Amino acid sequence: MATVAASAPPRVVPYVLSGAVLRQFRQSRSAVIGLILVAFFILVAALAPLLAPYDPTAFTLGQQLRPPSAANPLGTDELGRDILSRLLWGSRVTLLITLGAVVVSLVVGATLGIVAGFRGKWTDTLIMRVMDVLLAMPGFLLAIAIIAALGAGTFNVVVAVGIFSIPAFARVARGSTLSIKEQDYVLAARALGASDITIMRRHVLPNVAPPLVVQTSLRLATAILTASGLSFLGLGPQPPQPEWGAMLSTGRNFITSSPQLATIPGLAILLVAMGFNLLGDGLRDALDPRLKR
Amino acid sequence: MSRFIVARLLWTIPVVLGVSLLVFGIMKMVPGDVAQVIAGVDGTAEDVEIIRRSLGLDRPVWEQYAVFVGNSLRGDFGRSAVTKRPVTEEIGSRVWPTAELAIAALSIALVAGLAAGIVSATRQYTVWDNVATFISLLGVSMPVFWLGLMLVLLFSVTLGWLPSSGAGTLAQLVLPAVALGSASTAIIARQTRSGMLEVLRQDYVRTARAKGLAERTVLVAHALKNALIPTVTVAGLQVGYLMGGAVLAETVFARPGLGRLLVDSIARRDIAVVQTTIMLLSVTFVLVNLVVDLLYVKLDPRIRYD
Repeated sequence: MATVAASAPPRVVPYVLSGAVLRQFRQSRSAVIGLILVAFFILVAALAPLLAPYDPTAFTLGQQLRPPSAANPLGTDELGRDILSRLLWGSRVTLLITLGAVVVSLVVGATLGIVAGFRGKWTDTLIMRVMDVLLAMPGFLLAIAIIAALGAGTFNVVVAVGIFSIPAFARVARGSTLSIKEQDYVLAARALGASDITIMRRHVLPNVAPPLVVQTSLRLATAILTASGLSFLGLGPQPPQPEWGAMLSTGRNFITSSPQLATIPGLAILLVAMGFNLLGDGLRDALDPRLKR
Repeated sequence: MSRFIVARLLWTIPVVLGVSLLVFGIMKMVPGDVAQVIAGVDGTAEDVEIIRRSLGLDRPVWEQYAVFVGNSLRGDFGRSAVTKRPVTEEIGSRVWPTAELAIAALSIALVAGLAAGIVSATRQYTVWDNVATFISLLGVSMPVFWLGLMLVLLFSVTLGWLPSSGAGTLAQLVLPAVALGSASTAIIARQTRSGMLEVLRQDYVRTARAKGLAERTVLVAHALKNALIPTVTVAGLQVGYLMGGAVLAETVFARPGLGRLLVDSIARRDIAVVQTTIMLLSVTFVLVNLVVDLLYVKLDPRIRYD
């Protein structure tokens, strides 16, 4: 009698990276443009020390508020620091805060959402009611309140923006989990005696991933706008650390004499947010062709 | 249906309590001693102790929360640690500049967003659709504070058409409202576009066209009415965004509203004012969402909650 070997399931490429999805993705012009924008800024952030002509915090007396020149392609700020160098180094701070915050909310939110959807009953009620309360507050105000308690600073912005995005991920993860847990393969796994944790990790998580990937990209756009907004209010990274929102904030005071001080960091934020939005829209179309119009 | 309305109204109570617990909890984590802030730099240890006792800060936290809720229900939000005036007085004059700004921004978002969404959907894949889609993309990607500054640079500094700061006149409202409303305009436009496209594919729209109704009637009476239902929810959620964004817009345009008060009070560690301002804005948002949900029942006869 042939025995059915309890072999490991064949290794398959995750759906998110499968050929069909990649083909769809390549066909979407907005997705490709989004990816290029995002990749460009990540590259800039990675290579900032090589690209920046000067130390972003070094200032020269007598060189304040200079217009763009060969030595300082974007001019100098109110302390005589090279704006281009600050912009390049600032990409690191701004992008790290944004990525950090979204990773926090993705991990916490997805875990809560999957557990809520999978366990159901009071676990679900408890988790989702807490999410309802978080969503009942205007998000930016919640972030401000958290900073008020923790104090201004780079790490605290990550925490505040991270908490702010948790409910969005929890809702997406819960919604998908509810439909996945009724699928035959989940019932089969359970019949074979798999534990809840194994089922959630091996069967639910891979299938919840596509909507979470889309949500992550769109949330990165929201996160950079929120985080730079907080530092614009002086609640983020403290001087002399270069950060785009904070650069814009000091640039305001010189808007008539040196408009590039405020204009350029804002343009950088706009382009990154646009990249994440385009990428998210493109991913959504590629991962869920039914929604494509 | 009435059972749904009652249930929805009752649900508001635990949400507001939850929000108050959250805000109270966060404010308890603020470092430093409120009593010390009130006593000032030259307050003696004895003064601080007296103030602490008078504020009930020597009691257990849950008791403080109960007192906070009870006082709030009576309209007593305490006194500002900095000016010593009642918080209601501090906040009172700040409400209108923010309310006016949020209402103006929402109105712009609704009018421009609906118009752009309808044009996009009815002229799908034309130049108009592409332009509207691109502007929407800009709208959702643009930082409020940057757009505000660019508007100041163009309309106040360069052209000298509109004032760049203050509140009270219509001219002072235009730029901040446009800056604040742009992201919501884009989101409402996107929602309206996809809602309309969805509805335009339905059989009843084909039927309406087949029986020879004017295209205008088909669009307004049959398509738009149904496409608007999800847009109403999105617009309600935008109110929350506008309240947060108002903090940024008021900072850029030096508007003496609640948002500006909030940021200044955080810097001064004036907890009572911070707490009350956040509660006021959050409860307003909760009530707006309540109204939106009730409106939903009215707009969509298919929804039956009982």
